[in-house]
Amino acid sequence: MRAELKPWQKVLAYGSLVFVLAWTVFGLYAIWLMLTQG
Amino acid sequence: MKLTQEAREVLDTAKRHNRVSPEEERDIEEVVALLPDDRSMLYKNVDSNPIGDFYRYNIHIRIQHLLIFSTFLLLAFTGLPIHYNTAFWAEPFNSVLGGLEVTRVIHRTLAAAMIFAMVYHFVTIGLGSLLKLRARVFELRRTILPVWKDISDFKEDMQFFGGKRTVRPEMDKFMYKQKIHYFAAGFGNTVMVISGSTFLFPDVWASILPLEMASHFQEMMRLSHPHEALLALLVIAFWHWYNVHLAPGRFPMQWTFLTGKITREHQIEEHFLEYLRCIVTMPEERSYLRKLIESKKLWGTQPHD
Repeated sequence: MRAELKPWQKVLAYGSLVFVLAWTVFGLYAIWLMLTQG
Repeated sequence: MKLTQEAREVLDTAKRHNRVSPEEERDIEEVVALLPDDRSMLYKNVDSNPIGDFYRYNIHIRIQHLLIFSTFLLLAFTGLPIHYNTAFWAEPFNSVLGGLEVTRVIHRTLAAAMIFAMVYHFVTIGLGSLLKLRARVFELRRTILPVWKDISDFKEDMQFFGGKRTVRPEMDKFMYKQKIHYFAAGFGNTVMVISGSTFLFPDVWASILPLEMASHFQEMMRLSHPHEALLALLVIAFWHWYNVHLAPGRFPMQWTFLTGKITREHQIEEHFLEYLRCIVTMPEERSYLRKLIESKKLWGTQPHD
């Protein structure tokens, strides 16, 4: 059973999550570029 | 808990390396005997600090990870507008940085920083292994190097995910998935460094390689660099980030890269052999386990299969 994250820990963890998800979108864009422009 | 032969070897080696006293040895064996055979009962009931309970990575490894991931992201961010420099978005991006030539210089500087991180990593693991060898506490199975057991761990883990087993295999400090990921990253970095160096030093490569190969090699490297970069970006986004951010038990983030520590539930679930070493080296963990098993009446719980 994991303890609850403190508020600042939540900010850091969810902030990092949003960051990597944004990068995933960037990765998908890079694939699209690679497929359409070589 | 009846220990497997592998777990018994790990436990006995840890006791020998830590020169435990007869009293400590008795305590360790008693606690291990109390552990439920169904390990899932243990990791589902233990208390975990979300930012980590047990020491896993030293400060050097954490610095190397920070260096690698920051340079990796910035290399991808500057590499894309270099590769697609005529795209509508790339021109303003390059202009903001001072022009395409400046983006290239930034990209190469970041590449040098990434190579430094790689060298720093090899020095760390090389010296660390040497120190352990000198102290006679080096264990091959505890390293990132693949061992035969990884194959059976992989097979058993697939059986678990397919519903054919109720417990995960007893894995060591580094499980098969981490080993594949580590060597894939090592291979990818090598390809990127070699291919990148052919853009920067084509004459050097032409002087090294046979004449009939040099031109083909240059072409091959020109193709490899962006495609390997994209592959790396995909592996990081869809594999690594899934495992450290989204996977059940890790959400919303695994803190090991910052704190160097792993949670108790994670250690027991995926790195049980390393957890046995914690039982040997940490008397407070043995006291905790005694209280937990007593309070939740976990002794004697058997796996269902």
